Amino acid sequence: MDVLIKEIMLMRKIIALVGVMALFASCGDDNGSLDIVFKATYDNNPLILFDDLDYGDNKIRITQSDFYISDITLTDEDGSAILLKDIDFVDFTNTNTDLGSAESGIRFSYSDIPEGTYDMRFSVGVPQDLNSQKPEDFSSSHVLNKQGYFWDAWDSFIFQKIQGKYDVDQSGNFDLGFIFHTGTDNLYRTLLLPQPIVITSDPTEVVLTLDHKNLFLDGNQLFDIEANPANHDPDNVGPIQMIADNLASSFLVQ
Amino acid sequence: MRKILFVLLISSVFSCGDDPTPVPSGVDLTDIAYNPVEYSFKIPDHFPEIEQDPANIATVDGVQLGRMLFYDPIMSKDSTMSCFSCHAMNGNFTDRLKFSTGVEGLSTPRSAMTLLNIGYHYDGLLWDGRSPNLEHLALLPIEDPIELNTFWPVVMEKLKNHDEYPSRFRKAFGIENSDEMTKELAAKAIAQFTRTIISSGSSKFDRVAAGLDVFTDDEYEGYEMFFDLNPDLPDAECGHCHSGFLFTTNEYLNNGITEAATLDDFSDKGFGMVSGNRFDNGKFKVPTLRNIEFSGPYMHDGRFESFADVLQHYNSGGKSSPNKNELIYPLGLTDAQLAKLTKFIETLRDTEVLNREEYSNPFE
Repeated sequence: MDVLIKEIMLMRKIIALVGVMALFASCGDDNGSLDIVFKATYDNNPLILFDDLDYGDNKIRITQSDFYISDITLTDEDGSAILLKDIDFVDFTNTNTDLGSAESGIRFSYSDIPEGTYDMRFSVGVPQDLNSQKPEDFSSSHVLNKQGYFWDAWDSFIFQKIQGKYDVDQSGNFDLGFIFHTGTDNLYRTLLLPQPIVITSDPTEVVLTLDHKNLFLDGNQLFDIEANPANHDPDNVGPIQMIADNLASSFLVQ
Repeated sequence: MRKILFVLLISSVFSCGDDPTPVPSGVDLTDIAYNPVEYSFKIPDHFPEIEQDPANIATVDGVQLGRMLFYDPIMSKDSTMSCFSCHAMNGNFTDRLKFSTGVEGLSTPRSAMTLLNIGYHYDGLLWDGRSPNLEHLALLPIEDPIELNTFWPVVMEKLKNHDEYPSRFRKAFGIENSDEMTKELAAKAIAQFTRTIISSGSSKFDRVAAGLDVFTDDEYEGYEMFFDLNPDLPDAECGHCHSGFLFTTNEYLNNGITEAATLDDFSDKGFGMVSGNRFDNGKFKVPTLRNIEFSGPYMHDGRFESFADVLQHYNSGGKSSPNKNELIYPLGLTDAQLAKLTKFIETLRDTEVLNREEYSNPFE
């Protein structure tokens, strides 16, 4: 009986100790959360797939837009980095089907971030270490297990897909399809947000809006889709290089 | 407090009296040994491991039970058909019909898909993706009035009263009484069996990839056009949708076989009915090209009798609709180039998998 009582007493002490430790641990955590919301626009208006969009004197419809984001990282003033996510997938294709969903955007949530001021960077594409693998190397639930986002000819994941249709003769018939897929390590682009992110105990939200019209800017002119509706020729990477290079100027931070 | 506890105690005593442990009325199976042995999948070296349902890890006895149920006509209303009727081994696990015919002589609205490598399909099954996994899929044909047209309780009663099946269920799932035989366990067994139907890895393409064979000139040129590897040759655009070790991306796409003025004008909305997104109307699952020559007629509605018809369709650019995939446009390939593409696609022929004893009818 004495032994039993002693065990009960010991158990109570352990429970009390664990409770105090948990209390101290939670008190010590001055952590906050960050929501990153991706939104798609076209000429500063919410992008709704299959809508007719002005493209110079012609019109286009965007039918698909999605891309990988990777290495979402916060760096504090001391240079210490926090990797929020190694890779994820921004899928406007299955989201931007109406105005409401286009305005809501796609939300990624991160928690347990120490309070502080950070620079934030992220990349569009698949980083080299992951890009050296193939979709079947990842489990079926992993975002890289998408066979449709691997292009054998490049031996690379497809980083970004933008597809749509072009009304060549302003007839209302969108007969010309266009398809721009970026990929290969050369077109991996890292973007640094221009202003720091402040994480407090209150939730923090960053809205990143990707304007698709800007992606098609070739200098000050809209890119000639009719002349280059696809980027399959390995000797003609100009269109996808343009899209990759335009990413930095096409993302707007709110 | 003590009064409350007392009331609870009394009520629990009464409730025990109201709910006696049911006495099984079925056959006690505990005399039969239950020694599950995990099934070892035959997977080519360049294929990844199969991901199984953690609640349905394949065993030797489970796969064998599934094979029996797959082939046993006991699963149909009039004991004339079973899964194999539409998924015959010699038809690359299809019935090679435009539409399948069920026990009442009615036709299905779509062509039967192959079961080859079906265990690798993690993004939905069937042409429209309405079935999430093999365990779910196996439940469907039994009660479909166009297919086997019976009811699971009827089937399970027949299986419970069968000379052999209760012991088979015991060995596969460890049940202790035949009353524990359920449609879910039957479906699990069929799923285990169908998950084992995997390419042999002995096709010419696989042997070339392994350095054990070489393409002919025509096959190689077809390969280059298929995957757009040579800027001096036209891009046949095949590899965008038929890539990877399965030669399918497993996506749902509109490949331009149906004319539709608007997104709402498709007579068969396909994946759109499942996703609820009208932008997906008229989209269907991209099938594998492995052993495709044995799977005709082609497309979800079996509209193309021959593979040559399929290639002519893609070469033509297909029919107009708002969400026709942008990769479907007039290709301008010559007959000679189409012939070379065919030669390459024929390197995906895998006759070994169509002759494997372990996939055959155990009742023959």
